[in-house]
Amino acid sequence: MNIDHDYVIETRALSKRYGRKLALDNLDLRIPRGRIHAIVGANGAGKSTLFRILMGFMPQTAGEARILGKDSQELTPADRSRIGFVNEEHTLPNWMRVAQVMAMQKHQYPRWNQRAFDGVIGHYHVLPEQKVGQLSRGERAGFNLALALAQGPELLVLDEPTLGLDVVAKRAFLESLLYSNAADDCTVIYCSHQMEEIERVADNLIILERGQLKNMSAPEEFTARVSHWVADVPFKGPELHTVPGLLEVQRLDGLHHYLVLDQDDGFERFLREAGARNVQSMPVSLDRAVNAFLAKNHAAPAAA
Amino acid sequence: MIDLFKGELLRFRLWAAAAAIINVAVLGFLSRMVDMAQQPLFVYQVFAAVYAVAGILLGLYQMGSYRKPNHWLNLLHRPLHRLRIAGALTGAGSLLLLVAVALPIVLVALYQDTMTARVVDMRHWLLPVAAWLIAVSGYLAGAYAMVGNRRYSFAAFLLPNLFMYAQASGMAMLGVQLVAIAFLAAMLAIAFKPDPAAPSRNPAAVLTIALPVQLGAYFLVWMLGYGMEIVWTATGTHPLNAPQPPKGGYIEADRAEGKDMLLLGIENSRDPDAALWREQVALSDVYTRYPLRNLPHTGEMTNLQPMEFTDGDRNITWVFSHDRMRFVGYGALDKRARGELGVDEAQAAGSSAEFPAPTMPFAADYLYNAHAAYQYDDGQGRFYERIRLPQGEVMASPPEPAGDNILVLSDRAAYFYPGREAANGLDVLQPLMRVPMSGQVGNLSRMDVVELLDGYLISYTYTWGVWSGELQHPYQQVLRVDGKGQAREVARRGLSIDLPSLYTNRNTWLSPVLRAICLGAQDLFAAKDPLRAKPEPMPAPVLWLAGVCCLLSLLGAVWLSGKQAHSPRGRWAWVLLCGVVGLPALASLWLMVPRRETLPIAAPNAQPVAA
Repeated sequence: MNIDHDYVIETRALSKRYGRKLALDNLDLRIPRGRIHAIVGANGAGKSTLFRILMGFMPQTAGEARILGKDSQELTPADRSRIGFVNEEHTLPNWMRVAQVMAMQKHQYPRWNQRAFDGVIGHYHVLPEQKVGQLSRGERAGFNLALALAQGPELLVLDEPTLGLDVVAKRAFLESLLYSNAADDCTVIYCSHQMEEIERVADNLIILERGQLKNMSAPEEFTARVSHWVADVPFKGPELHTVPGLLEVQRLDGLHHYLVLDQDDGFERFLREAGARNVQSMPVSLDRAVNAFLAKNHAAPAAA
Repeated sequence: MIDLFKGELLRFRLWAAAAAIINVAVLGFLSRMVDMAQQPLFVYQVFAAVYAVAGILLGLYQMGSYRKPNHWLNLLHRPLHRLRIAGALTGAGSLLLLVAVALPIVLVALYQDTMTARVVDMRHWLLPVAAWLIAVSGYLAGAYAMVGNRRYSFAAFLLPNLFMYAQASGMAMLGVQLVAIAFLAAMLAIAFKPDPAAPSRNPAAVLTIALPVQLGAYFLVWMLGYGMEIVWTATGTHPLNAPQPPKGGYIEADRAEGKDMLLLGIENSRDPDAALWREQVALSDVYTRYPLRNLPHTGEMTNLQPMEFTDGDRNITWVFSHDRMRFVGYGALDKRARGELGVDEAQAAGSSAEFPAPTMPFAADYLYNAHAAYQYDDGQGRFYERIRLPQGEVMASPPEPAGDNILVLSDRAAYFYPGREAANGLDVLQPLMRVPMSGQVGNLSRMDVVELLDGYLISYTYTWGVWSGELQHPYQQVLRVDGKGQAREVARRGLSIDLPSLYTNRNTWLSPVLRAICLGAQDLFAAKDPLRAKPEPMPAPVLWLAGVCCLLSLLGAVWLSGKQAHSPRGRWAWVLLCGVVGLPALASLWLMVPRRETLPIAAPNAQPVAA
C-alpha cells in the first residue's frame, strides 16, 4: 500500500466480519487532510467498527487501515497524541473536578493549547471547581470538546457528539466547534445522524451503508443527485421495479411523490410515458436526501 | 501517569477510608477481647478471605467501570504507554488496599506491642504485609478477570487459591505471594491493551496466559469428577454411603474402632498366638493415635493453634515467642508483664534457656515441638524437658498414655516411655522400646496399640493420600513387640482403595505435567516437611491413559488449530503443547484462540473513492 500523507484516513479493502455478518465490506476510503468530513450511515452501517479499527481497538478481518499515515494497529502513544476523539457518552472521570481533569490532560499532551481550551469552554457556564459528575450533558459535551481541541490534534474524530443534547446545547456545541481556531488547524471527522448539523458543518459527506462506501462528495453535490418528482398519475402508476433510481415513493392526496437518484429530465419523460398527466420537479433537503438514500435498502421482512 | 494515579486515589479515597475504619474497628474490638496474635489458623484464614474478596471486588469494579468500549477507548487513547496507564490504575488500587487492609493491622499490632504485655514477634509484623499481598493478588485477579477475554479470564482466580495449599511459611510465604502477584501482574499487563480480547502473538505472553487457563480447565474437569460421586450416591453404590463399607478397604480401615482394626489386621494371621491376641484385644483397651500433619515452624505468621497456656495457680498466661524462643508471661487478671521462661535449669534469659523450636501445649500435661516434649511444673513454675527424640527425627504424635506407658510417635518410629517415671519425676525419660515404621508417616493414617502381658500388639495403617492419588498401595501392618522391645511382623494386608483407580488418579491422567506443576507450586519456597510423604509412582494403566489423553489432545489440536488464526510456528507450538500437557491444553487452545475470520466471497479489486 502506498503511503500518502495527504490522507488522514486511508483504508483499502477493509473488511470486518462478526460471525456471519460483515460489518465492513471491502471498504476503500481515503479522507484527505483538512476540512470537516461527515460520516453518516444507518445504525449497523459500520461507522463504530470503522472507528474502532482506525483507533487500533479492534483488528480487521482483512484489508488495511491507516490513520495519519500509520498502520492503525501499530499506533504509538505519540501517534495518539495527534488524534483527538470525542464519543457520544463523553466519558470523563465523574469524580474529578474540571480543573483537575484539565490539569491531567495538560500534563499528558505536549501540544496543549490553553487558548483553545479557554475559547471552547467559554461557551459554557463551567466552573473549574465543579465536579465533572455535576455537569449537565451539554456542559460535559462542551468540556470534552474543549479538552480534545486543546490537545492540538491533527485529526479530531467526533463520534455522534451531540447525541442526546437538547437544541440549545447542540447549537452551543456546534458554535464552539465552528468558532474555534483550533478546529481550523485540524481535520475533523464528524459522525452524526443529525443532518442539519452536517449541513452546517461538513465540507465533505461520506455515506456508509452495510459496511460499504456509497458516497463521498460535498453535501450539496449529493443533494443535487437526489430529485423529488410529483406526478399526477391515474391508477397505480408505473411498476416500482421499472422506476429508474428510485429511492422512495409515496402517494399523497392522489399524487405520486418519487425521490430518485441521479435522474435528469429523462425521468419526466419516463413518468409521462407511464401516464402522468402533470409532472413537477423540486429540490430536496440534505436530510431528506440522505434519509431516502439510507432507507432504500433498509432490511424488511421477506414477505413484505 | 501520576495524574491518573492521583485521580484513582481520589476516586476511591472515601471507600478506602471507610474500609480502613471498619477494619480497624473490627480488629480493635477483637483485640480488646482476645490476643489477635494467638488465634488459630482458621481465624487468620477468615480474615485473609475477607481481604482477598475486598481486593477482588475493587479489581472487578475499577476495571469494570473502564471496560465498557467507550470508556476503554477514552482510557487508553492517550499519549501514555498502555503499561504506564495500567501501572497508574493498579498502583492506586494497591495503595488503597494498603490503607484499607494493612494499615489497620499495623495499628492493632502497635497497640498490642506498646500498650499490652502480649507477645508481638517479628512474624506478627509480617501479617499486615501478607494481608496486603493477599488483597493485592485478589485485586489483580479481579482486574484481569474484568479486563481479559471473558471466555477464560476467570482462570486468574485460581492463582490466589495457591495460598491455601502452599507449604511455605513466614518470609517464604511472602515470597510465594509475591510470585503469584508477579504472575497476575504479568497477565494483566498482557491483557491491558486496546483490544484485550485479542490473543497475544508473543510466545511468552501466550504461555503466561495459557498456564492458568489450563490449570482452570484441569481444576474444572477434576471438580466435575465429583459429579461421578453424586451419581454413585444417587444410585446407592457409593462406598462412603453404603451401610457397610467394602470389606478390606480404605473406608473400613478409616472408620473402624481400634479393637476392630487390630482384629481385622490379624484376621488371617497364622501366628500360633493369633487366637490369644484376639481374645486379649477383645478384653483390653486399645489406644489409637492419629499422626500430626503439621508442626509449628519458626517465624510462621499464623498458628496451628494458640501457642499459649495459663498457669492457674499463679494466674499467669504463658505465650510462646518466636523471637525469644521462650515463653513470655503476663498476668491473666491484671495483664501485666511477668517475664520470660526458658526450658533449662537456669531459667535465665540466656541463650541456653531457649527452646529448640516453637513449642505449643498439647492436651493437659505436655507441651511439644518438633524435637522434644516438655512438662510445666505448676509447683515450681518451670519447664522440664521430658522426652527428647533422636537427632534427625521429628514429632509426629505428642506424648499420651497408652496403658501403663507413654506413647510418642516420631516420623520414623513409635516410642514407649515408662509411665511411672513420667508421673513421678521431672527428668528426661529414656524410651523403653522403639518400634520402627515400615512406611512413611505422611501415609500413616492411624496407629492402634493394645498392651499385652509382655509387650504390645501394634497396627500401623497406611491409607493417607489414597484418594488424592499420592498413595497407590495402602496396607495395614501388625507387629508383635515383646517385653524387650523386639518387634516382628505378624500380619500385613493390602487394603483396597474402594473407588476406581482411574477416578482417584484422574488428576494424573488428565495431565501429568499440570499435576507436577501443582505439586511444585505447593512446595514453592517451602522447607522439606518430614511429616509429608512423597507421592508414589502411578500405576501403569493410569500412565497409559494419560498417554492416550495426550495423544488425543495432540490430534485434537491439529484439527482445531486448522480452523484458527495461527502463524505456522505458533500452530505447531500449540500442537506440541497440547501433546505434552494433555486435554487441559486443548481446552485452553479452544478458549484462547478465536476461529479464523474469513470473508464469504473474494473481494473485488475496487478502486478507492477519493474526495
